[in-house]
Amino acid sequence: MTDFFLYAINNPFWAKALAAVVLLVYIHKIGIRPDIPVLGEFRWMAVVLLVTDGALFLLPNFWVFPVVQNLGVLFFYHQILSHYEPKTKVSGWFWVLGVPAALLGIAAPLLNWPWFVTFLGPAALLTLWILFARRLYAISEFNSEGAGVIMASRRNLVQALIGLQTAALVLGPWGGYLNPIVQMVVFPLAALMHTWTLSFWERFAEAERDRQLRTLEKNLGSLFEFMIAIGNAISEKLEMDKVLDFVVQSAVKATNADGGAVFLVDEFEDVLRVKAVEGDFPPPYQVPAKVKLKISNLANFFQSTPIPLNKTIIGECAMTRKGIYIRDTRDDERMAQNAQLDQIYISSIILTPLMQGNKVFGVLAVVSRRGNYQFTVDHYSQIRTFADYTSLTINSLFTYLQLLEKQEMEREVGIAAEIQGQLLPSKLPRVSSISLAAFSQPAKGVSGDYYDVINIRKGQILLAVCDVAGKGIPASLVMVMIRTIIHLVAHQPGMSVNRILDIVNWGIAGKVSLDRFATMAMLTYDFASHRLEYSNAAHHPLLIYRAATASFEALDTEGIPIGLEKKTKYNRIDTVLQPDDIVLLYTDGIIEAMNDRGEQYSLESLETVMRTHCALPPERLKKAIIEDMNRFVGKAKQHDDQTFLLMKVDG
Amino acid sequence: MDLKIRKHAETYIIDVNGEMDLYNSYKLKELVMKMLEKKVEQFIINMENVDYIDSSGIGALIYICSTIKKMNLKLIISNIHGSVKKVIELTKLMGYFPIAGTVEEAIQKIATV
Repeated sequence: MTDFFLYAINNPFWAKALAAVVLLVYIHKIGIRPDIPVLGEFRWMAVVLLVTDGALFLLPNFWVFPVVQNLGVLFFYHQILSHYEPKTKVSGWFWVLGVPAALLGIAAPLLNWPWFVTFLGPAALLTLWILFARRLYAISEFNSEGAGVIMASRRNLVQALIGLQTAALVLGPWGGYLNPIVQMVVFPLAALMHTWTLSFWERFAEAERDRQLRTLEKNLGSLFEFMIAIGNAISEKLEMDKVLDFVVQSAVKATNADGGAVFLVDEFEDVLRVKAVEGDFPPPYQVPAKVKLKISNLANFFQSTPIPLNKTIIGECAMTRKGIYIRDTRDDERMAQNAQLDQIYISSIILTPLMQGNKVFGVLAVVSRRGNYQFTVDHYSQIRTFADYTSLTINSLFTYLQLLEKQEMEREVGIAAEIQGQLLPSKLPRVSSISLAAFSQPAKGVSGDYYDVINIRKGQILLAVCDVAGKGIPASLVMVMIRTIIHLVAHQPGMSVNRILDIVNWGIAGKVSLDRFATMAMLTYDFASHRLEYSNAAHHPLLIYRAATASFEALDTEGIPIGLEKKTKYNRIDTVLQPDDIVLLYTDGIIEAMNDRGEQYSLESLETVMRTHCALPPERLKKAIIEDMNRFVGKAKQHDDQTFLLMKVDG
Repeated sequence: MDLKIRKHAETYIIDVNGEMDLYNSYKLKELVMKMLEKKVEQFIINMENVDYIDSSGIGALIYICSTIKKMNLKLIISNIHGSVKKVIELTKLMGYFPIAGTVEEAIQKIATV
């Protein structure tokens, strides 16, 4: 064994031939690649070694072969070095160390192997090698992306190689001689090994890059398809269900999943419900033993069982607002049952929350049921992109719907304002013995208030103020109905105010939606008898200013609003007015008019201003009230309609 | 206006926050109709955080109330106060609505009715 070892390190032919063969095999394996520049030179070096050694084996004493061999190797060595070294530096070190070493190698047999030849030759080469390695393993053309790998590996490799060379150097004199040519080949060979490692790594990195590129292209493609699909779903009809169906289908397709599902958070319970299922999607949680037995039971159970927000991974996903990616269900205890049972087997699962604003409204999930197919991180990021885009789409869908609704409402308000313009009396009747004034101002374009003054027969007048709940066309239509009924029945003989209200209520109740109720106050005044009759359907009481005592009096009767119950009967209260008495019918917008500080105008203020200006005719009293109210309110925007009717008995 | 729902046993409590006016009262109406579709049978509408109501709001409450009455289900409106109370008093609807002072009272009331 020792003999063999000594033979191995002492016999230059053997070592050189082996080095050359290994070199050729390596180069053959790597193939000549333009991105690794020195491979061609290494190959030629190996060929020169094999040819000259072969020749030397046949003609041992022919001195030309060692000279050709040494100078040939030297030449290629120079070529290789110049790839890595700027020309000037290479030539300096190369001539000082490399050439003398090679010349010593040539001269050694002629000088009968003196000790300094066997020592100095390898020493010179070792120095050259260290210089060469320093340059080679500095940041090189290989490490644009693989810098980390090179940094990590080069120190160990360089250390190992230098150690190996030093050992050879020490063993050289001990064994008698070490051929410098072996050194010359072994050094580059070692470098080549590292080159080979790097190129292998590069190939691997390249493959990884290609793979990523392909995935990215595929992802982009499917995302693009998804955007178009979801766009179509929206333009065909603004349907949430359809959009969600598309989302699930696309998610399943893009991830090559076996099943996908969307769960929606219930609007008023903390549970999630299955909304759309595509493919085969077993419940990803523990199911009762009975259910597990039959596949059809399982599907029914899954479809009909709400999932509490704090249970199962679906609930967890919605609660934490974070996506969940389980590559292998066997590694996750939440999926223990799914990893074991055939009926609900899931090998891999991805869940991600669907958000509207910062609220979770659902969960999108895909599953794989193939033991050999697991989702990758790429799939996970793709599903998240889908979910993001879905959230975005649904957000804009909601905003759009709201906008539509608002536009619709505004349009309606416009139409209603038009209807209403024709409802209110264009001018008040002129009669002797009383004077009248009316004021009505809508808060937002259209009023829910309605007032009317009708000459019901000679010497008798009817005043009514009405506030219909809501605005827009429905409210206007209710007003039209009320007005029509009043105008039809008010003239009838034997009619009284409470009877009119009864009839109006009877005509309206049950015909219009309950939330379109109206409050209404109505009075009639007889000029001859000065008799005032009043009836109220849940409106503000009638306000009377008694000129004689300079005091206020409120008249009211019981009764719920008009339009609620068909059988409601209203009451009546009568009084007699004196000259200069003033009566006022008003809606809540007057006394509830608000200023910036949130204070209300109040009945007291109204009474004060009336008392102050009681001597004025109604038209001017009206102006005084409006002025006073505006002064109080300032620039605050009013959100209720303001209406009042003034009647003053002439003196 | 903002609507929140919580659950107490079989009773669903709707907390109404903000003003109930023409522009949002329909939301409450829609919500209750949806809940009725889902077979909810006991409601409490908590008006604790409602400081303003207009006729549309009252309209919505009337609508909800009468619908639930017709279906023989249970509804109680709780915490009516301030101007909301005034409006309801003015419209003489205090007797029309089933009312409780607090949510707790409402829960008791619903259990005994």
